[in-house]
Amino acid sequence: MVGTTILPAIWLAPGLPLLGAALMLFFGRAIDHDPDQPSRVPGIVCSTLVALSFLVAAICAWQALMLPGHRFEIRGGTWFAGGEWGLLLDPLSAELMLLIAGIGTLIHIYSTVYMSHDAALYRFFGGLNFFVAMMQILVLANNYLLLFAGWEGVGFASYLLIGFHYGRWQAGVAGMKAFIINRAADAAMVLGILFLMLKAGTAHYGGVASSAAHWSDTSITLAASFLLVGAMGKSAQFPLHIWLPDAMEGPTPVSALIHSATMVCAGVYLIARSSFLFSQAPEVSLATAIIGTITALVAASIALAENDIKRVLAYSTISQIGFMFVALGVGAYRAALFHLFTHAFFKSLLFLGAGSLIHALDGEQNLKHMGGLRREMPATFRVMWIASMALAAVPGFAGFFSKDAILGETLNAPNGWVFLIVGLFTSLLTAIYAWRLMFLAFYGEARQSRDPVHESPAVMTVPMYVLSAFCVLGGWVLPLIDWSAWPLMIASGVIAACGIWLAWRYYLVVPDRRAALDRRFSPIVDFLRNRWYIDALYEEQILNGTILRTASGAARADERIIDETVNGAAWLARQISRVFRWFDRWILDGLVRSSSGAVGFLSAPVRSLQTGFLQTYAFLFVAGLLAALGYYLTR
Amino acid sequence: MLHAISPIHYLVLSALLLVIGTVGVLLRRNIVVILMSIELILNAVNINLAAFSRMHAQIQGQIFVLTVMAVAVAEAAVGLAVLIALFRNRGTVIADDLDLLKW
Amino acid sequence: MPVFTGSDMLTLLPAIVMCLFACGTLVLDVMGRRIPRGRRWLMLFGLCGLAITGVSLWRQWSALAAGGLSQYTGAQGAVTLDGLGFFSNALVLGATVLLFLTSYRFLEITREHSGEYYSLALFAQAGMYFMATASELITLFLGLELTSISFYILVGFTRVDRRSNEAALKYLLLGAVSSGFILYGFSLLYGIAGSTELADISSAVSGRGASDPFVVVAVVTIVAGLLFKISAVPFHMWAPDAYDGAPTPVTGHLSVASKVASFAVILRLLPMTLGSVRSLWEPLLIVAAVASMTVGSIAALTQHRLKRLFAYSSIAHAGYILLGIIAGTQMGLRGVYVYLIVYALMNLGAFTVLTALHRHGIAGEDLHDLRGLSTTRPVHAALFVVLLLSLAGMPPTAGFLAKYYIFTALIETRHYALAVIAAAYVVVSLYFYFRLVREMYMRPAETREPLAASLGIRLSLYATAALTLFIGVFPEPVLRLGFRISGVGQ
Repeated sequence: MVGTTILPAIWLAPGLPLLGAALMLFFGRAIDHDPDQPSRVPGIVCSTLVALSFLVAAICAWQALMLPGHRFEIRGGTWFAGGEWGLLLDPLSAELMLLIAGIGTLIHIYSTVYMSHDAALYRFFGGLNFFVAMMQILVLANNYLLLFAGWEGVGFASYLLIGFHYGRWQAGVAGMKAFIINRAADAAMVLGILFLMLKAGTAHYGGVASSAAHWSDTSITLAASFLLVGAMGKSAQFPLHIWLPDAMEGPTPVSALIHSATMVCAGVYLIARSSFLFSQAPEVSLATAIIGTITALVAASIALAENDIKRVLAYSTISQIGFMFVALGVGAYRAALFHLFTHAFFKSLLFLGAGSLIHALDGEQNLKHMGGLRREMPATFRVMWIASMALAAVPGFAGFFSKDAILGETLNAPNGWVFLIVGLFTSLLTAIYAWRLMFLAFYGEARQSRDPVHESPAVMTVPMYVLSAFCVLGGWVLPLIDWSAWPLMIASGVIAACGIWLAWRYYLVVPDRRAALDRRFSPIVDFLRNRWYIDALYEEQILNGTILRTASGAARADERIIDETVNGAAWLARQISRVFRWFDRWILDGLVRSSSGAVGFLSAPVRSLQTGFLQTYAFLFVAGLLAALGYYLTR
Repeated sequence: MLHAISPIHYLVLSALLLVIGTVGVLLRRNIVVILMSIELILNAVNINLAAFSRMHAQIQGQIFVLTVMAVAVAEAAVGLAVLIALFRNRGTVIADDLDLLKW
Repeated sequence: MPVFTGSDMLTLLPAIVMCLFACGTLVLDVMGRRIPRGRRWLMLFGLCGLAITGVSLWRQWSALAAGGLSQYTGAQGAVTLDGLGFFSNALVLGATVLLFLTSYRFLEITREHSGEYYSLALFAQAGMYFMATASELITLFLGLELTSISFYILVGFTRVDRRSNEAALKYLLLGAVSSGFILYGFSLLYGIAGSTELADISSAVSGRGASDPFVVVAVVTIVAGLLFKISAVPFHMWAPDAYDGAPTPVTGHLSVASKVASFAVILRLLPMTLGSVRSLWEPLLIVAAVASMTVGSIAALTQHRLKRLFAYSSIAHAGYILLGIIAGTQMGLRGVYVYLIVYALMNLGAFTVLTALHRHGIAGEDLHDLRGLSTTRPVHAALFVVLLLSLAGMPPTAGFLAKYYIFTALIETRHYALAVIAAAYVVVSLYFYFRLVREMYMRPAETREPLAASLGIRLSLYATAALTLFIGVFPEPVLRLGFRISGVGQ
């Protein structure tokens, strides 16, 4: 490798998975046509291509970091007005690229077994490959337009994969919901990108950055706000977060790859990439931090009361990305990316572990129907144990260092102690819900209906072991640990321990004597009690067969408000559409004949005009013309 | 006392014809009559054009009139042909009975 | 006195070719009634005519380019050759070629196959040639009417179909009224200017100003009539009915060719000729654009008849294109041109799919006729998705590019409110386009009857979808060509 460089081949990183997606699109059906005997070929082909992509990415990243300036850029021809296109490899994109290809490879391998009972796997693996390709384009783009192309591409891939089991009604709906909410946020993002391009005359990061140095505060604030909204949608930040829990309808590997490790972090990447804007826009940065704080807290509290294992993890993801947004908001971009890096490992590991449980329990996702699984599924237990340690930020594990880096940085911001206090409190909640999941699923007595339960095969456990290694070592490999913040480290360590201990007391040791315990831990438990009350209520309803999706007061309040808004908007659109159709129908069909009271006053003159369908058209034509004439002639 | 007839008088006449034609299109139920009303609209235009042609002492307007007449004939012919096809299929020439296509 | 010269000949050459071939088709049709597969030769004859038309358009263009002229007025001042005309004619020519390719199988199935069809399409094209190039009112009027009358007959072409009859009659009556109003406006313009030449009218109108009542009435009636032609709200009511009842290939042609030519007329009459009274027609266009986007997007939400759905969708698209004219800058004008190219491609492609849905015994006009298309014809379904994504304005398809230009122009000219409204309706439109995708991909097929996918249909579908995608990814070459032809820079 001495003297030679394969850097110009960096396009292979997205190119290979794209090839896989194309192969599946064109030949998938030919390979995998028999629904009763799903073929293994799509899984093998796609996994190989992603693994090769990882290889390319790894070599390129290494070579690029060896270069002076640590960056490498391919600049292509012009794309269209203001947009040339090309790829940029610098430490930021290299980190994300390796993460995507690496975790992507592991999850592809895992899926070959996990999904082996499903038909039409070429659709699944094709979609997964397409996702990896688009995500690589997103992070490797050297301008906002190409980034946006990847941005839309991953949204589309996510839509396809959430709806993979489209036979299930909820899966289709969840896919649509995710897509539509993202589109709404993307509308803001398009405006932002257009704005940047108009101001700067180019979409290239470097060009925009050098131009932005001379912009007025208003312009910068405006541009940053637009981008922030886009990032909030993609990264499921409050109040646009509601699509993510629903997205758990997708197959578990999809949740692990797209909805925890990579795609949902695209918003963090976008803001980090646009740090030249955000660091000049203090108000927007403050808003970012506040949104992140609220998201982290709300989502963590909801996660406490969720019983669906994947939804717990979904809210946990939202909460953790909230932490990253806090970091971005206080200007600690490195800390945000550090947490993104560690989070990707432990959260995808948690999802894969959850998938292993679900796989073993024939699709059971309710924590209340699990228990004592550590004996029967030792491998899954071990990796989940490590991942939960990392999520709870126990000292030494990956999540600890990165979260601590964020909390340490908050103090550099004005009034940063607010973020710090809320952040520490959220950490406590995090430790509790992380270990609540563990204690319910793996300890105590068995509650599952299936017996006996078998551990998953090696093809699934080996990728998990690889990830768990990173959960332990991930904090140490990047030279980002700041030992000088040792008082904070001790504090967080104590908080994590408290959280785990509380979860242990509450869910394992004395589950029957909750009422007695509640009196003893009054402030915290009072806060939790409401959730518990509602949790029980909801549980009863779930047992009664009613499907309810929320579990806590916070969940109920916020989902109701937001879901109602979304539903309301859809309802409104439907109603308006209905009104228009009614209008057309009336103009056409003439309520004229069935003289209805409501339109009676209109009906009479229209009837006297002998209105038929044709003539009401003509009538509208003439009316429009007269209105215009009247407007001008009486002006 | 007689006033000389000025272009304005022609304009008023043509505007009246236009209104009559438009109202006819809006009110009459029989499609044949609607076609005739459309002819009225076109004739309003013709009066305008002829009057302006006279006013400007210039020939283009009259050429325009002849063109409009020819086109009007073609349009009416096609209209009647379509109407006959409709009558064969549906047995009606009443505008209100055209109700297959709606919403 | 001017006489008919060689340059006049060149000016009118494409129209002469089209009319000759139109008449030739009629004659051959009568002569060849008994020849087996005679219709196929008729279609090929028509395609030859289109090819020669293309060559003659090219001759015109290269003659102009050789002379270094940006425009040339010939045929005694009746016809102007310029970028706008070439642009419109080239698009219309392409649309007619696709019409010929897609119609053959359709007409076989509906048993209405006769030579008039091709003849009428050629006449309509000749009409659109004059719409796009006329530089005085009489020629413009003749072009408008030649186009309209040909389309009236084409819409009602399936004579035994009651829906087709009804559509034709409604379109005809309303179209005649709108022509009457346009003509009334023309007569007033003639009165104001004492000339039918657009150049004279332009200077006379700017002399009179925007407060003159004659100018007001003329502008309002003409704008109303033209908005009717492009089916902008509130003059749109004919469109859903005519689109629904017409034979599907004709619907596609109507929604593309006649709309492109009508936009050419709007561009020539409003910004070029009546530019001095912009304050008069701009508010009308704004109202019409917003109303069109509103009605088009919202009415399509719950529509389940495919052709009506596309009628509403094309009403909404007309609104977007109007926005480019409203912006009025170089960028806006480019937006109009780009949007027209892209709109033509994606709508023709979509209607090609709808045409293929029409099979023996299956009307193929309802949403549920798309069910399971992803399993029965996956390639067609995927290409249709590309076209739908483009219609919805999603990158990386051409539709995004078109909307990009329009939005940029709006922001550039500080029409922020319009930009926001337009962006909101993009989201709404996404919903109804996705209903089609859902039917294709998430519902099982109801019939195993294969699509009526003839060679022509496949060719035109592949071509439109591939171009839609290609323009979305590599817009530069096509855009440069389009801008060069239309003469708006580059």
